[in-house]
Amino acid sequence: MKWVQMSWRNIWRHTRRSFLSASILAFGTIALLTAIGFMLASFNGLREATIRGGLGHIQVSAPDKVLQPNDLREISEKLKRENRVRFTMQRVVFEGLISNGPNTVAVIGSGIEPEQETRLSGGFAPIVAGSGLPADGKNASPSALLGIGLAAKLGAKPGDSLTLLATTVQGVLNAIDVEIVGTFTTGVPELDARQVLLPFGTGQSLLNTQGASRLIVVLKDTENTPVMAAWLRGVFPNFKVATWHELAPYYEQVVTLYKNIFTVLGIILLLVVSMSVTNTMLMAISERLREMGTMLALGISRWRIRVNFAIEGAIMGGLGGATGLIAAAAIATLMNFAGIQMPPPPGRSSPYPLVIFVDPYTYAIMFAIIIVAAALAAWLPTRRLARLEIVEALRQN
Amino acid sequence: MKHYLVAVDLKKEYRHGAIGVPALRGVSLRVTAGELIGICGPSGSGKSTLLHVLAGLDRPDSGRIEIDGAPINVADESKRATLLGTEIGFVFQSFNLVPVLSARENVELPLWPKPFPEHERRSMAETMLARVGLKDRMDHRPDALSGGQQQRVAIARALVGKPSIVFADEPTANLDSKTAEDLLQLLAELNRDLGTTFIFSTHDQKTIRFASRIVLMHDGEVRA
Repeated sequence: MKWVQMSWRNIWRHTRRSFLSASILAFGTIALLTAIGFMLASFNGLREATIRGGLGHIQVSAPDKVLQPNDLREISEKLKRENRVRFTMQRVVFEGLISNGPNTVAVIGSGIEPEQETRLSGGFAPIVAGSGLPADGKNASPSALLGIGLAAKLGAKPGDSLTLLATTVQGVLNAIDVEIVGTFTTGVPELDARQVLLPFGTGQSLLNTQGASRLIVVLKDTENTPVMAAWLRGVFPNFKVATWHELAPYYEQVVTLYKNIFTVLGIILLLVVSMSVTNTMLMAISERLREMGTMLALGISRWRIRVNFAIEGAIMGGLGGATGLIAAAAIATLMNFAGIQMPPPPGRSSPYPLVIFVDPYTYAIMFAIIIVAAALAAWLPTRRLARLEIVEALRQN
Repeated sequence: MKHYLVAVDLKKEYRHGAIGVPALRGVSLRVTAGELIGICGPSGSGKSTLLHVLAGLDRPDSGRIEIDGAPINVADESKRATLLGTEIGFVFQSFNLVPVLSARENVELPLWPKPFPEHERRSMAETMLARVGLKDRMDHRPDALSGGQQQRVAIARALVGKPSIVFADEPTANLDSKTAEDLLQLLAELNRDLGTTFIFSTHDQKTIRFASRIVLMHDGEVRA
């Protein structure tokens, strides 16, 4: 404790210089934490957008066939008793053709439960023109929603009638006439040019089935995905259970890419920031050479003296890091509160709000990293002490 | 009579570029435990170099030094540090107190690496400061002490680890004559009361009378 106390006092021998070094460390901490906070928020946003964009948390399907009504009933009943499950919904998916007579376009389509899809994502298929899908297509005339790109290609507008062709589960072609009730946008132009949505019943009619291509499981908390997937695989070994993570491999690729980029930039920033401590310690060592010589003459080991400089660096790191932590949290809160909109990312057409996470775990890790980096930066220039002759040091003023 | 410190044919040369300046030209010295030796000589005669070499702060180019029968000039770094922390104390001309530490902490400093309980370390420092007449100045930093008081703190620091021998390199050079006399009087008392061997250097003929033996140096050689 005496040594730490001595290091603490040594820091204040040159208040302005120490203040400057600690300030640089604080600014570095703010920059790193803000960047990490933004990155974590972006990852979280991407994850939730991926899940709410239609994947759900878990998808249950039957290998090479549709889920039969009794399968759906059994799985749904079991899932209803699980309090980690928010709700489930069914979907039929198909690839086919849509035609207005002169023009025919290849489409990817889904038969959905609109109310449940809206529960998964409040912003599900935002309507650009016309209205949404009716709740149940079985008791109404067949209707469809077209992506805005697809509607533009066909020159279709709400109220028009188009013919939809697809292969049934029995492997034969089926065609139904659908009334266009509206157009929607996903925010992804490529999808808007190909996607058609039908009420679930209409989709079943098109594919000539009473079953569903997949059952989508939506959880209350994304963190429970692995546990629930494992449980489902145990209870229903004959069905295919896939998590959102498995269904969206690009998520991990994006996360890895951004983590790598950030790690390199973070290390560079940390090195630049640490240089300020190295510089401060270089000056301190030059000024305190006679003091070092005296301590060596008193029988204090070189190692001990060097460690003391590292402690000075660590204290400086602690002061700068703590200041940076508080400032970063305040800045993040202010920016989140300001509701700043970021420009649309590549492949998207709508802006998104700037969010910066204040993650206590990340803050704790960053605090430790700044302290260790500052201690190492202070340790480096002490190499001079390792070969310092006592009498040479004592001659210094 | 058994000699506590034995130095034989010590040679040391400083180099200034291509020119070698001899500081010690074959100095030999035998010191009995409990002596108070004054090394006298003009500036540049090699007094400080001899004290540094004898204390193990510097290495001679050749020659042999033994303290209590153990050679010190060949001791490795850790052994030298141990020796400096236990057997040998050193008092500097410019006091060399650590400015961020109080008088008591400066005296405690050589004890910090040792496994003494804090209260014992504190008690040892306070006893030694009281012994040099600074009982009331223990919590003062060096910049709040006079030159004489700072040198007393430095003496207390050199003695707190109970070394067998203390070297003092011109301890009165930065003090006025009255303070210098008081300080050497203190050294003589400590030498008598504690039995510690003292070797101090001086170029002041007035202060040399406190020594029980005088070693006269000139041009890197012992003349008498």
